[in-house]
Amino acid sequence: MARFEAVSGIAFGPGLLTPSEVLDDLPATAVGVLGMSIGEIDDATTAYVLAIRPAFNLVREGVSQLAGLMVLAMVGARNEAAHDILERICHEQAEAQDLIRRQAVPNRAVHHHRHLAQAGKGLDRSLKAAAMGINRADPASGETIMKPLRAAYQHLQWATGALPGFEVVALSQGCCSAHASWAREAK
Amino acid sequence: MRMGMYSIWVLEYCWVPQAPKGLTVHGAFNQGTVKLPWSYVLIKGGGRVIMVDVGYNHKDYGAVMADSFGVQNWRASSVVLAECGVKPADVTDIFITHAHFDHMGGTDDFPAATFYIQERELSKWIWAMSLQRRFRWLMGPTDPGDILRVVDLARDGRLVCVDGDREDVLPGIDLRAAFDTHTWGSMYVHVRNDRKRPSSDSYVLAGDLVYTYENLTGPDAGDPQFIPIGLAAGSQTNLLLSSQAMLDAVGGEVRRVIPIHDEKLGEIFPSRVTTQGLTLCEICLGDDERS
Repeated sequence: MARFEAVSGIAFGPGLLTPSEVLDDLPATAVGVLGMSIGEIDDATTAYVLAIRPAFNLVREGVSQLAGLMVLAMVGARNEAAHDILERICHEQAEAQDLIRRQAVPNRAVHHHRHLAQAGKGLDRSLKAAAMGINRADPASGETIMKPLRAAYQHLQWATGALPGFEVVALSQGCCSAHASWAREAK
Repeated sequence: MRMGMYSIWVLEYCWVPQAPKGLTVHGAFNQGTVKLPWSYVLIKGGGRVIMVDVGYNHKDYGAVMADSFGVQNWRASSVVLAECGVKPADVTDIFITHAHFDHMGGTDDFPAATFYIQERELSKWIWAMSLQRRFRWLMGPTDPGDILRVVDLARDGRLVCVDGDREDVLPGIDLRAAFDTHTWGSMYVHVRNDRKRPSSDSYVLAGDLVYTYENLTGPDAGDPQFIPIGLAAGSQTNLLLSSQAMLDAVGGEVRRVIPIHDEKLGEIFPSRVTTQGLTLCEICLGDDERS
């Protein structure tokens, strides 16, 4: 409890917010494979979720952007901003790695943290390879980038399944999706 | 039904029983819900087996879509296409109208196909990600996994990035850009079954530029007006202009602009419900095809 308050500045207790209320903005889809729902999360794990989400998002965005750069490079598209984008991903990735490294990890979040750390490492390896140049004519160099990038994405997916509160795709923003609350009512 | 070069079917692969009508018709916020079929398009003819969009990645998101978003009765492309005697491995060409997860997620199912997408759809996606986090709505229903799969397509030489309109991408088929509409690099597919230009026997596969015929007619078909869909990363004005362009392409005949999410499609064209409970609409039949 104390650690959660330290992180969030939000206090729990009689008449105060519950963890599930604090996490009310989390996607309704977020129920981990461990069967844990938002309402079941203990305070320490709640604090972890809130604190680590920025790192998760940075890694997710980094994976997406590098994949996008790869597509454009592979088809020979003009992309004058590629160098700047790559530089920014590297910068943000360093920030994410720092967040992941220094985050205290409660017991129930160990599984999640392990996958997120692996995702970060995979992206880091991809970025280092990409910094050497993306050569579309050289399949081997492409694979040096893509192999750890695919692994990073896979770890991100596993991380979303390990704890509620994380999503790789913002499905709730899908124009064709029934809003989650409608779907629940329909059930 | 007139015969032409290509046969076209709209194949439902799942549905959402209650989608807010305001999603499909902008402004209909207090008009309850509609059933929203999720479909893709199969086109056969001239020795080609073509699809427009490929559905979502059920392997990764099926449970979430079913449990939290009310998606029902999803069936694999192998099952859905079999209703028309086609296997996923038979598909030769796939036009991706835009990069949302429910249109581009199923690329892995088609090992022999060449994929076509607007380059702008990818480059603007990267641009959107470079904005501050508070702009993340722009990134909404896109899946990094889809982009990773697209990289593999590119490396396999199976990705064609199109820059704007491309006429006769295949004989009698034009790709038309509709930039800054539903998404930045949306496109629609114009099938000219008589191969003439202008055509007197053509259809437009509209992607998500329209969800329903009501987007083309308004609520009063006697006094028609364009009403945009509920979601535009670009502009509603551009959606209306693309509606006009699509109608112009088919000589103003509303029914020839095909909104794949409209349940009424099955009333307008010959249709049947498959043993899996999914609706199959027969838009037109080619010379060598039986109903």
